[in-house]
Amino acid sequence: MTTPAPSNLVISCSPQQFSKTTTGQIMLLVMAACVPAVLMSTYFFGIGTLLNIGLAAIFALLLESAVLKFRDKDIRLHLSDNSALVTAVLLGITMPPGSQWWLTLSGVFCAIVIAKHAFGGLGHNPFNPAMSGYVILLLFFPLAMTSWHIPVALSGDELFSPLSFDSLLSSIQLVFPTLAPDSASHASSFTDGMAMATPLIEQNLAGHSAIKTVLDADGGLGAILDRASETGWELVNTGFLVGGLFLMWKKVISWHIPVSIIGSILLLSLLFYADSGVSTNGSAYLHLFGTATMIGAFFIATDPVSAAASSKGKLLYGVIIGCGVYSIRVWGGYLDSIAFAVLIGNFCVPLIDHFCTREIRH
Amino acid sequence: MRFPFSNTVSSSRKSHGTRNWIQPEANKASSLRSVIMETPIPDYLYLALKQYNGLDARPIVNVGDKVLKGQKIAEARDEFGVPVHAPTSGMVAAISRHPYPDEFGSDAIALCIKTDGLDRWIPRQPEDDLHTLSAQQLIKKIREAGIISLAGSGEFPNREPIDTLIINGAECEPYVTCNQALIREHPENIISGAKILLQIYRAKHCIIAIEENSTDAIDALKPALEDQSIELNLVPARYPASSDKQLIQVLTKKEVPASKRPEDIGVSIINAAAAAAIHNAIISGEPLISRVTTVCGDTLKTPKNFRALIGTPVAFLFELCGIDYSRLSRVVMGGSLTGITLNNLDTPLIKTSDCLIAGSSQEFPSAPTAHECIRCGFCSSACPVGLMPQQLYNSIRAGMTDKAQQQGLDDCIECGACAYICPSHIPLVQYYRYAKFELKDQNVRYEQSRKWQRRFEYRQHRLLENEKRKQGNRHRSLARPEIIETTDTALENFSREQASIEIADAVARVKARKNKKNSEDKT
Repeated sequence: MTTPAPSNLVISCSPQQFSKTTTGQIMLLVMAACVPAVLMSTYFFGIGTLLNIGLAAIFALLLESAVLKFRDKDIRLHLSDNSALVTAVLLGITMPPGSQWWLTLSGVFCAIVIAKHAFGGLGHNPFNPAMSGYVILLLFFPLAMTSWHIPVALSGDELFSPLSFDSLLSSIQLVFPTLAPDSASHASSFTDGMAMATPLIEQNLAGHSAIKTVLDADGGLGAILDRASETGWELVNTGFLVGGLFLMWKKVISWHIPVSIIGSILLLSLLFYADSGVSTNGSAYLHLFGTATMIGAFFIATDPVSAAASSKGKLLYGVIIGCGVYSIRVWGGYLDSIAFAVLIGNFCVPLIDHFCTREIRH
Repeated sequence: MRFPFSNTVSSSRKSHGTRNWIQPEANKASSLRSVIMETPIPDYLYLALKQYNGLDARPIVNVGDKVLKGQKIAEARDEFGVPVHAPTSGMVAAISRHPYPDEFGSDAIALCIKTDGLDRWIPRQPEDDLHTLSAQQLIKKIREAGIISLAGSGEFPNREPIDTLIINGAECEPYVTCNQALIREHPENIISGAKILLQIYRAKHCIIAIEENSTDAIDALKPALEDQSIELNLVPARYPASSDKQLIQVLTKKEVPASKRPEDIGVSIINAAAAAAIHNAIISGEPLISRVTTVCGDTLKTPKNFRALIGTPVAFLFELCGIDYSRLSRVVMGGSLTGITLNNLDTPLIKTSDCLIAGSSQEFPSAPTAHECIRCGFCSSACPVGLMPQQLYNSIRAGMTDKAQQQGLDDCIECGACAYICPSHIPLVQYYRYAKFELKDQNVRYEQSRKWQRRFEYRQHRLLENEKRKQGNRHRSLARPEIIETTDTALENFSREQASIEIADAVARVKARKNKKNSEDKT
C-alpha cells in the first residue's frame, strides 16, 4: 500500500511546540510594572516624568530603527522585542523631570546607539543601556542632571497643584524652552523657583518617614496623598516596590537580585547609622524609601542581559551593587549611586558568570 | 515521597527541582475519549531490523518464505539486542531499504511482509507456573519475545542488584496517552508484568508512577493494587518528570549521576507498556508484535489509541482516524517536545513509537523567528538536568564546542524544555545537536590521527630494531637470526598493547638518557 505523500510536510528539529510567551511580552510586562510608580510621580511632581518617558520613547524608536537599518537588520522583527522602549521608559523615569529635549535625546542616543548597538545589539551589551546613557549625561551635564524641576508647592501653597493647567504648561515649556513666551528669563526664574535637590540632601541625611508622620497626625490614609505632606518620594518608591513584586510574581525576574541589593543596603545602613542626630549616614528607611533604591533593585539591576546568570551569581552581583550604592551615597562624591553601582556590577558579571556556574555531578 | 499503598493516595510532594519545570499544554483529552481500538491488518507491514539504538537484527527468513504470526523473523546480533517477530501471518515480500523513523529522515533495512489476512499463530507456549523459572530463564524469555523498554532509548535493563523497581506509567509529554489508556483499561496486565519483574530483580520496593492528573488511570489501578506489595506514586504533571532519570529523582530523591545508568544506584526503571508486554510474553507466550500507540492531531476526525501491529505504515493509522490530507502539514512521531518529524507516510511503527501526531499548520505553526538571547534564564530554571542552556548556546555560537562540553553539553538529554520556554524562540536543541555531532566528528578525527601516529611510531621502532639486529648479527653472526621479520608478518603480529609498552620503554630510555646528560651538564 502506498499513499501519495504530501510533498509539503514540514521537517523540523524537536521541539515542535513552543510556549506563547515572547521577549516582547516580557518587556511589556516590565513597562506595565512601572505604571504605579509613574502614576505616583505624576500625581506628586507633575507630568515631567511622563514627558520624559514619552519623548525618550519616540527618540528610542527612531534611533533604534535607524541603527537597525544601518546594520541591515530586520527592523520590524527587532523592534518587536520592545527592548528599546524599556530602555526609554527607565531612562525617562530616572532623568530629572523638566529636562530639556536635547538632554533626553543625548541620553537615548548614548543608551541605544553607544551602549547597546555598538556592542552588538540586544543581548550583547555588557552594560545596562539606560544606566550607561544616564551616567554619560551625568558626567557631561552634571548641573542639568541634578536639578529636579518639580512644580510642587512644598511651601504648602495648595493652589499650586502640579496637575493644574499652569503646571502642565510650565512642564512642557521646561522641556521645550523655545515654547515659553519669554524663554530666557522665564525658564531661568522657573528653574530657580522649582528646582529641588534629591531628598538625600534635602533631609540632611537624617531622614524621617513622612508617611509615618502623616499617619501619626491622625490625618488618616487620605492624608498620605496630600501633596503638602511630603510623602511623594516614599510613595513613588512604594510604587516601584509593588511593580517589582508584580514582576517577581509573573516570574519575569527572580528574587535573587532585588533581595540581595535591598538586603545589603539595609544591613549596611543599619550598621552605620547612629540615631543620635549626629550621624550623616542616613537611616535604613531613608536609604530604601527616600531614594532610588527600589527602581534600582527591581527594574534596573535585574536587566537580564547585563546581570549575572546563575542564582549564586545573582546574589553576589546584588551584594556588589548594594555595597556600591551605599558606599557611593555615604562616602562617595556623586549624587547618583544606583547608576554607578549597577555599572560596577556589570563590570563584574563576566567574572561572576565564569565562577558561579551550576555544578554537574558525574 | 514513597508511601505504602494501604494509605490513601496523596499527591507526591513536588521535589525541589521540579518547581520550575515547564507545563506545556497537554492536548491529551481528544485521544482519551475512546477506548483502545484493535487495528485491522494492513496489506503490507514493514519491520525495520533496527528497533532500538543498538545493532540491527539479522533476518532469518528469505524473500518468498511464508511466516506465521509470532514467528521469529530476525535474530539479535549481540547480547543486548532483541529479535523481531512477524506481527501477522503472510509472506516475506522483500528485504530492502524503507523509510525509517529517525531524526535524519533516513532509510533502514526492513522486512516487508505481505499479509494474508488469516492471522494464523505459531504454537504459543504460555507459562503456567512462574515460580519454577529462574531469573535468568525469565530474562531470556523476555528477550526472546523481542521486548525492549517501550519508550525512549528502548534498552532493556540488565539484571543487577536492584533496590527499587519503577514501572513508569507517567507520560509528561504533550499528546502521548498510550500508557494512560493502557493502565485505564488493563491495569492487571501491568501489575502482572511488574510482579514478573519483581521476581527477576528481587527488589525491595516496586513503584508504579503515574501523573497526578490522570485520574481515570489512578482509579483503575487503585482497586487492582489492593493487597499487593506494589506502591502507587503520583508525580507532578510537569515536563519532563516521566523521563527516566528525572522520574527516579522525583520518586526516590536520588540523582542518577550524568555518566551513570539508573542500575548503578540500585534502581531499575521500565515503561508500563513494556511491563504489559512482559505479561503477554510470559503468561500468554506472545512475543512483542503490537503496541498501543496514540494517534492524534487536528487533521484527524477521531483521534484515539490503537493497538497497532509493529510495522504498520503511519498512513494506514491516520486513514483509520479519518485524516484530512489537504490540511496535513506536519507528522510527528513521539510527543510534541521530543518527537521527530516524518517526511514519508510509509514510515512504519517501530517498537518505541508511542505517539503519532498529524497536525495542521494551525496546530503546529512554524517556529517564530528567533530573537536575540536576553539571558532571561528561563531555560536554566526549566532544565531538568541543571544545565545553563544560554551558556551552552553562547559557547556553541562562538564555535567553542569544547567549552560547551565542559559546561555539560554531554549531559543534555535534548528534552526540549529550554527551547520550548525560550521567549526569544531560539532553536536551542538544534544548537546542541549540532555541537554534539561536531564533537563526535572531532573525536573520530582525533582517534584516526592517533591510530596513524601509532602505526608510524611502530614502523620507526621496527626499523630501528631491524637496524640494531643487523648490526648485532654482523658482530655475532650466530645470534638470534630468527627474529628478523618481514614487514607483513611484523604487522600481523602487531598488537597495540605490545606496541604501546615498547614505545613507553623507548620513551623511558630516552628520558633516562636526557636526564643523565642534563645531570652531567650541570656537574
